[in-house]
Amino acid sequence: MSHGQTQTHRRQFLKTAVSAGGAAVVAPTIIPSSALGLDGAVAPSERVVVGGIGIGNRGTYDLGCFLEQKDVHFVAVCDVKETRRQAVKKIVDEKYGTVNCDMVRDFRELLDRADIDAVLIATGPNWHATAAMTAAKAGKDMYCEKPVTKNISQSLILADTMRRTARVFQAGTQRRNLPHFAFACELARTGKLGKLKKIYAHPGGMQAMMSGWLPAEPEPNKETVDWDMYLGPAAWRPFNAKLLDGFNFEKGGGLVGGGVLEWGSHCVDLCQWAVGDCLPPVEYNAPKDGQLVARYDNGVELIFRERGWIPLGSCPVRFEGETGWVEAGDSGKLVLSSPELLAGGTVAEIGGYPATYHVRDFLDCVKSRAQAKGNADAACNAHIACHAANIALHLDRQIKYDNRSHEFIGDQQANRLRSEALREPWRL
Amino acid sequence: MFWIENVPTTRQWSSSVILFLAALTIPAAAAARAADVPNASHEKELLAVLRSSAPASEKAITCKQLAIHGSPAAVRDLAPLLHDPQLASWARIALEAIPGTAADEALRRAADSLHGRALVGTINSIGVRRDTSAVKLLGAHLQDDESQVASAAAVALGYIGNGPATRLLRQSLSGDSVEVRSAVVEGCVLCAERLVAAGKLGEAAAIYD
Repeated sequence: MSHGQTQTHRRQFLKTAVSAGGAAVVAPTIIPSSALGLDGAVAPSERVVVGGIGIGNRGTYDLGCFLEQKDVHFVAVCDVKETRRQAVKKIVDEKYGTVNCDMVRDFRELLDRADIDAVLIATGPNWHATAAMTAAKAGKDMYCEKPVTKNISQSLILADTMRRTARVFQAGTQRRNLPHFAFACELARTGKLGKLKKIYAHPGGMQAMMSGWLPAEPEPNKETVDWDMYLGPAAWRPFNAKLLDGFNFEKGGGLVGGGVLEWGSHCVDLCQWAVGDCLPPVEYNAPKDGQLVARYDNGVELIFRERGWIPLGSCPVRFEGETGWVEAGDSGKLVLSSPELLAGGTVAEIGGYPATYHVRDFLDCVKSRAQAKGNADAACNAHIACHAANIALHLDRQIKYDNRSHEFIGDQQANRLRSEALREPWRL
Repeated sequence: MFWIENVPTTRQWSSSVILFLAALTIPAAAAARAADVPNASHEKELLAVLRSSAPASEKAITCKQLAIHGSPAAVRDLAPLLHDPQLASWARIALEAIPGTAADEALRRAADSLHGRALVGTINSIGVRRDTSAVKLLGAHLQDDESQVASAAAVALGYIGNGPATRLLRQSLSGDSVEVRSAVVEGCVLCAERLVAAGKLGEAAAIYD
């Protein structure tokens, strides 16, 4: 589904070609039935034309989810690494039986293409917010992997930008489109657990981290690895091959990050959903005994907890109300305080946290212009909660956050950690 | 009353244990606890690193620490790094964060002598800090031959968003460069949004029109 001139031209071309085909004076035009949407194929006007930015391990998984969708036409890949560009082109061309997948090194070239409706952003976390906002300004919708932002300021500007540009944004928080997590959140949100008291998220490592600088190694040529573009908005450091692994580079934010952001962008996001995607907590306490307790304006506690989980797989969440509780994890299973909470129904058990449903939700929203489940406002609030928790962890003291001014109250150091300068020439 | 729908399998236990162990093995080298309040002696230690012949890697991380612990007194040692291609982005991390006019003045001074990408970065930081004293300087850079510089100046003026900045941007809406014009429009929208937030809907509407 293209929105610009290209779509009009393509439609007009097809229309003209079909009618002209009936006239005796022109040569016959052969149009494949698939191009017209016959034989069960999706018509071009209903296809979402997609490009990929930064397609490594996670991105290749996401790409597979996109390619499964019949209404997706993936046309171009951007990556700073030549091997990845080639690998993605091979996957896409084999899928379509063509040699058409375009390869570029600079994502701005991809964004300049008028035929591309949406982009998959699966770069390292360092790039997510900057690439997403650049894509939005270029008129593209986007599915953007998490963590979406590096700090509070980026979270707010990202949400503003998506609102201003009216783009469809889907954070890579795919658990929002899995039935057992959705059911658990709905129980909490709709009062089925009684008045909500405590919600729990698993941070997967409560340590603040700072980005590093490894010894310089010979820098490859730009075609092989474009180091300058890889660094992008991150502060400069010399090339080192170890940093090319996204797990070693600015993971979780660069200034402070670690597991609270890496896992919190999933499980805190679910907690936010459970409380109706309200504004993030206003108070964050210093960690104690493997727990960091935050508190919402209405008194509900958001507890980052390392231990004490029922073993339901990674990314567990637990919601406790006055009359009941529910716990869920990546196994696809739920544990409930009472079978009555099921109200005689069943909940589909989908383990392994597939992103297929989340990608489908995104594509449907690209067409309907509705808000995706992992929309920018929801992602912004969840990420702010993670960033603020990280700041409390880093400073090792209680901090209080004002959701109106977006400032920490009376804490200059905490306020300084709300943002971080981007390397030139990048800006938000 | 407890009811368990499904008993967890051994495999599920294993995955939880693996996850927990992974959490414990996150590198501790980078973790650093901050003092409760800005500490002058700690700042002195950090500044001593910047003044020393320590390698760039150490100075870079020191800049990050100064973003949290630096006072206006640190600006004098950070400002020269704006001219260092390796450390400029690290220095701006600190200079964007340190409160007070000293950092603003340092960024403005640097903008007078820098060129190219280094200038773009410095202008971006001026915009983030919403330095109203930089409007005239940014107005001059709106006419810069390098479109990246002019574009950065336009967006920085948008972040400042006061009356003089808005006037400069509106006067530049008819420029020749598509890239710069796009940035000027972005700056105008930022100005309008600030006016909306301040309840000045009529003035905002005038910009949108």
